[in-house]
Amino acid sequence: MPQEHEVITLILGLGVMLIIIVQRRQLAQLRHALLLLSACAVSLAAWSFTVLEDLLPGLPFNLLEHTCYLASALLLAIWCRKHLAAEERPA
Amino acid sequence: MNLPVFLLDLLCLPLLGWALYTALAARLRGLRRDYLWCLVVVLALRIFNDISNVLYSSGISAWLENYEDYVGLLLPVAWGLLLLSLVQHRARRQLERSEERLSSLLDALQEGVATLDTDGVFRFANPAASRILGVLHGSLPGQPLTSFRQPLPQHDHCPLTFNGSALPALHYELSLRRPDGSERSILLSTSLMPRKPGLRLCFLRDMTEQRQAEQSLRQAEAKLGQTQRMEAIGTLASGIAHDFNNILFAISGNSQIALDSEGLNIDARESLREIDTASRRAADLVSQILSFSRREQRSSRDLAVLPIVKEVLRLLRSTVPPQIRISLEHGGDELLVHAEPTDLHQLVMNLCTNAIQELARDGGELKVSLACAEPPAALLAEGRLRPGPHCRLCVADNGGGIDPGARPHIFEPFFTTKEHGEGTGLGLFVVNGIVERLQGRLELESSPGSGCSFTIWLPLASSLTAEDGNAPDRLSQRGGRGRLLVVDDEPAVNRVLALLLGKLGYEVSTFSDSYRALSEFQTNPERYDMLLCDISMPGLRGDELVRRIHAIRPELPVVFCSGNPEVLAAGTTDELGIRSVLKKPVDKSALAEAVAGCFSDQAD
Repeated sequence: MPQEHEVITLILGLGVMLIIIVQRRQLAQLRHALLLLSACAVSLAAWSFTVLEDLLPGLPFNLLEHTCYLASALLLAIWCRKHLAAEERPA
Repeated sequence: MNLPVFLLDLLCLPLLGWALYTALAARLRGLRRDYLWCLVVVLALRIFNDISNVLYSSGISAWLENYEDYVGLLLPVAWGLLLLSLVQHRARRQLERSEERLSSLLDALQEGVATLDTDGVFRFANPAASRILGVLHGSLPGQPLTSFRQPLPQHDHCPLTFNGSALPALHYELSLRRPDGSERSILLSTSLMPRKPGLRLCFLRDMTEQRQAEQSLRQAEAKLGQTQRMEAIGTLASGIAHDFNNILFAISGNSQIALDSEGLNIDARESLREIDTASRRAADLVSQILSFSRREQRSSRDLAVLPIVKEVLRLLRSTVPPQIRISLEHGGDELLVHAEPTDLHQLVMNLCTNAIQELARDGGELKVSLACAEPPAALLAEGRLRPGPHCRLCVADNGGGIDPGARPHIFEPFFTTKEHGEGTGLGLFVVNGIVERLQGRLELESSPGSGCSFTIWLPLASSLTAEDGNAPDRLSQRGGRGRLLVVDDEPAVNRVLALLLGKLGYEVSTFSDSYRALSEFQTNPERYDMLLCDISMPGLRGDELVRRIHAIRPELPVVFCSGNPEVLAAGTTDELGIRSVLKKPVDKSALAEAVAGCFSDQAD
């Protein structure tokens, strides 16, 4: 059975997804928005795999979860570099 | 130990650490963004989770695992805050850019934009509004619009405060006074501002230059219209002059012939003199109108002005009533101008005649002055005169002056303030035309009750060889003997010429058809001693007739007698060897002089 904090994390993650859907037009105008939103989506996928790992034991959800964490970290790092560099450039 | 998971978590740490370093370094470099702290929190939570996972996977320690469950709950919350703060930051940036764009537009606008409250006090004004009203930018808010108002009655209907005004839009033009005292014509458009009760949006446009340009354009259009009217009159006059002078010649010629008759009673003789005088006045009128239709090169020469002025005044003194005093002031300089004698004569005569007519009722003084002077700077600024000494001719009287209402029209043709029958309305029109043609300038000073003064500035001629423009009239009634061939398409003219020349002792053969005249001459070329012919004739023109006759007898003297000699191209008289050109209606003595001159030349 999935643990309680894992389910709450997933629900909060879905709340984040709701924010993305509602504010999609504004978010899409951010610099390198695809990198940021992909990092967020991959994080949500990782939280989903955490729950699924408990529901469907035997499948490699744990490996997928940590792969998603790595992808999310990579995308977030690239976005930080690109976005902040652009923000620091004089207009 | 789950090695792949351990490696994956281990790889995450340097990436997240680098991202955290990037964010903190940007903040330390001065980048101030609200979302930056949310990003740091997200990265810090992720690093905490990864360290916990690495430690757990490697089996070193599991104590962080207890906290990871709770920290993990914060991660989605931190993500959500990060995204929301990014959206907020984006919206704020957009708002700032929009304000910046609006501010740039308002600053760049040449039209003044302002907001006014119901009391007409400025609440906002762009730089153009301040510039239009002549105040420093930024000092306009707080000032009432009424502080710029001109106390003019025509502005009473222009509201400058808007208490209770529910009109959605108001447009009016009014004259406002700037703090430096200058007056500007401002177009004011105000409208109610939506969602801002009590405020009106106001556009100000400086119309001063446009109004001045429109005024100049109207003046230019009026001048063009005047020129076109003159052109039309000139063309019309040129067209009718020939026929009209033929008619006048028939009238005056016949009256002169009748006057020479014996046995006339006093009344009949007086009537004939009136007819003769009237026809001469009519001829003068045609001549004045014709002076505007002359477009060909005229035979101007350098003339001394003073003898002409003296001559005109001598003529006038003999006719003016004693209550009018005429005086002439001159420095004795010999002022030469490049003109025709008749033009100068007409200038002085017309101005003096006008003044005398004005003084005729109550008497007064007519002052004529002639001097060499430099035109005033105001005239030179107009560009019509060149700097340097000019001939200044001033004709002034102390009569009633010119009515201000009539002043704009006095140079128009046929405009007259005199009684019906006293003036033709062409005097000043002719004067103005002559001055324009001589590249001079005419100034008028007059105020009702204090007289009138016309000042004419004429450029001085460079040549020092002057001709006296007043060759004395050689009135003679010399008769003679000889046979004349007279050709004119008007039978009445032919009859008058035959009678006048017959009385002088000449034998005359008249022809109305120039081809028949040529045929007659070809038949008997030695029969005639002289040819007197018109210029404008149907069929064979006068100049062509002369060419054909001179082909047979080149030495035959020819005199032209025409109602409009100007139709002859310049140089034609010299080319054809014409002895004299008479203008109809020709005086008996002038006719006798011209014909006798031809015969005396032959005798020489």
